[in-house]
Amino acid sequence: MNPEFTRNLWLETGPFRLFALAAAALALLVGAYLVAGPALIGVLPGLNQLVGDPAAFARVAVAGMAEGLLAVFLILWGTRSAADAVLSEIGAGTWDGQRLSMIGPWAMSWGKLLGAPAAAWIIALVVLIPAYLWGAGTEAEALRRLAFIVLAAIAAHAAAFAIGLSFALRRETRSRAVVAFAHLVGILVGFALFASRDGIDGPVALSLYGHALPPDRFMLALAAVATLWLLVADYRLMRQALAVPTAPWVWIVFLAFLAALTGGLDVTGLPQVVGAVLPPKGYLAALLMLLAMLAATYAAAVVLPPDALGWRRWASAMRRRPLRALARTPIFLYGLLFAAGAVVFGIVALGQQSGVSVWRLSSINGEAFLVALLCFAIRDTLLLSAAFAVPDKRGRVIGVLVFIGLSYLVLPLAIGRVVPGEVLAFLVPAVTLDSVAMIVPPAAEALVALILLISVVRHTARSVRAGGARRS
Amino acid sequence: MISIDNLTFDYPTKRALTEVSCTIAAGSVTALVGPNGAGKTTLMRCLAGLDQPVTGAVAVDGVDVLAKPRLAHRHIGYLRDLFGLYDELSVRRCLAFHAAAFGVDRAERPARIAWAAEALGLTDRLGEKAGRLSRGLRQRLAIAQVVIHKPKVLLLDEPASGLDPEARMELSRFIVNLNGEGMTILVSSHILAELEDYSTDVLIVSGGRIVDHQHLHDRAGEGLSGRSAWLALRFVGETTAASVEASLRRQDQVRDVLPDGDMVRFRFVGTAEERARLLAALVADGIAVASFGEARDLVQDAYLKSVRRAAAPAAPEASP
Repeated sequence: MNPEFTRNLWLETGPFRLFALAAAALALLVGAYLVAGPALIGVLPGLNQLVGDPAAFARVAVAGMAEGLLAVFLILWGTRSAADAVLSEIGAGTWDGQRLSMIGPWAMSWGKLLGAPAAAWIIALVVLIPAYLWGAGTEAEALRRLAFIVLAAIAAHAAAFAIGLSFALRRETRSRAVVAFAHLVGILVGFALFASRDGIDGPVALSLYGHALPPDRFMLALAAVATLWLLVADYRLMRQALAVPTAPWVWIVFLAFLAALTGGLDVTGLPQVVGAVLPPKGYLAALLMLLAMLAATYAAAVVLPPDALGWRRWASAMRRRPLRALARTPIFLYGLLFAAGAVVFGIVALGQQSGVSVWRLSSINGEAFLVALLCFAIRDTLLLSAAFAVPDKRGRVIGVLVFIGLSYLVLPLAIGRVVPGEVLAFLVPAVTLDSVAMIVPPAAEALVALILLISVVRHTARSVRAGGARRS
Repeated sequence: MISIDNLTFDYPTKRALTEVSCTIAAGSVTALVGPNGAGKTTLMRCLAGLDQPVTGAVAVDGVDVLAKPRLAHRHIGYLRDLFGLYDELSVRRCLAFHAAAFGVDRAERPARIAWAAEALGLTDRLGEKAGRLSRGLRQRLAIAQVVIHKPKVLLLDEPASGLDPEARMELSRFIVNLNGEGMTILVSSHILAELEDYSTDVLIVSGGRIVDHQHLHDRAGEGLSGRSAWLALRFVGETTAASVEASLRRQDQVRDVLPDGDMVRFRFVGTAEERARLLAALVADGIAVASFGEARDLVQDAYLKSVRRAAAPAAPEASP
């Protein structure tokens, strides 16, 4: 038995606690049955005609209550436990002891992921899932919804756990704000999947590289794959936390997977804005790919940012052994590289359009738009890196995040109508400008961010040398 | 047993260790001493594979700690200065978890738990929750946890802090016992007199560098046994250090004579009666003995000399 899982079971699954939780869940389920079933019919005799079979109605009510309780127990409460799984160890001073043990990264990951929310899972398995199946039946649709709930819970736990681990990697101390942030991210991920259990309404058709996909099954498969990648992320982060040498190759595989998925995905039947001019399909695929790459890049820049020492080590390795340095390259740089590939893909797709398309005739400068998006992402991730590279980083990182939010959302809305497009191009891609006017401002900002990062890293290096000189 | 090669460790704005190299012999008990902020804890964390140095290599029993940390941890036990316990678990479960986490065979675990509890005086506390133990008992439990897999190398960072004098004496005896079972031990402490009791070597760190590495005793606990001890003789009058040294070297039970000004330190192996006969022999040789007794300041003396030498602006740095 995994010792970490066993330890969590000892801590989390006391008999009294389990009994109290199970009793509370059962009381709510029985309450739902009684209120929605015979009791309610007895109180309101006319309801019998409205609902048909009152027993069936009561079963549906129990299934609905079980579904809600699964969300509360697994996604709300279980995610809190997963978020705190590593951070609580740091707070209690036991994390170093765990890092020193012989428990491997995979065993440590699943021991904590499954062990920390063990009480929630036990109540779910013993009480809530049987109640759901009793109420909803075992038809395919009921099982599909249940699968979504379980996947949403695992994904929520994995996301919260990953955020908690990323704080541990940055040597952050445990605080309520840190745990709350990890919890919130997990909940958002969990409920995003939970909400998609209802499937896709309307005449939407999906295809991947020309192969038609049933939307509901595709969504379930996508949820499963997303959950799997989150678990892989947990494992890779745990390797780093346990000081096991970890190269970024799995991250590159993930980016390639994401590029392949978004590059080949085609969605038709979505409601369209009247009068909108859609770009060619190849360009749309490239844009979707670019956005996916940028989302992954931003996540990497925030979750796994190198500190000044990491940058110095990388620069030193690049000078001595460039090929080996690839293994030390900050992973968000690989994201930017893939994003650049998506930009090239989009430009080529536009260039291959034969004749004069409606999109081409519109005033949107598609090629420059992609390049400008990439330049803004480079600026943002370098600014974030500079903020993470300084020792007292927390306030500066928040400052950069506020700046990014202001520059994309608040300022364009506030001054967009009063300043010329050439000025607005410093804040957002101004799609109707010519290529130079659209690309030069964000490229210049990216250059400034690069200079800032280099100066921060050099400044800390000078501090280290000065400290060494004082001592000797 | 422990090989440290050219280890440099940086914090983002501070260099904590600079090109540290040394070898710690198997079976030794090495006192790691140095001023606050000298790099003792950082060195221990690098040895344990908890922190990654900028450059350099660490090997424990031939296993590269940086390349294969999980494998190296089979051979390492590390007690950090600010340790934590699972307060809600019983002492037995704390030990059971650590035994499992450090790869002790399932069949062997009960015996190992009993051994660790017995060795640390926790046998009658096995059913108590860790959170209800006193400071001293918590310290004992923490030590029991890190030795339960019988590591070849034990790293103890300030193990005696917070312990009362009796518990410190017990800790000293426990360290000697563990060393007797073959463990190589590195102990960091500010209580130098205590380190005298069980250390065979002293490693002095200052400003992130090793400034001295001395051998003190052949066996751990010689200072505790009363059979073998470092003695100090202070002389006066016409007596010279050379005459004292010559007189001492004629005695079979005397080893490692170290003259130092008007004092000579030497290691003596023998009983109290034999020690009395040595004093009589020295007086008979015409040595004007001003004082004669146990030298309790070997570590302290080495420490002060090395740190002062390292701090002197013009003084060249000692090689490790």
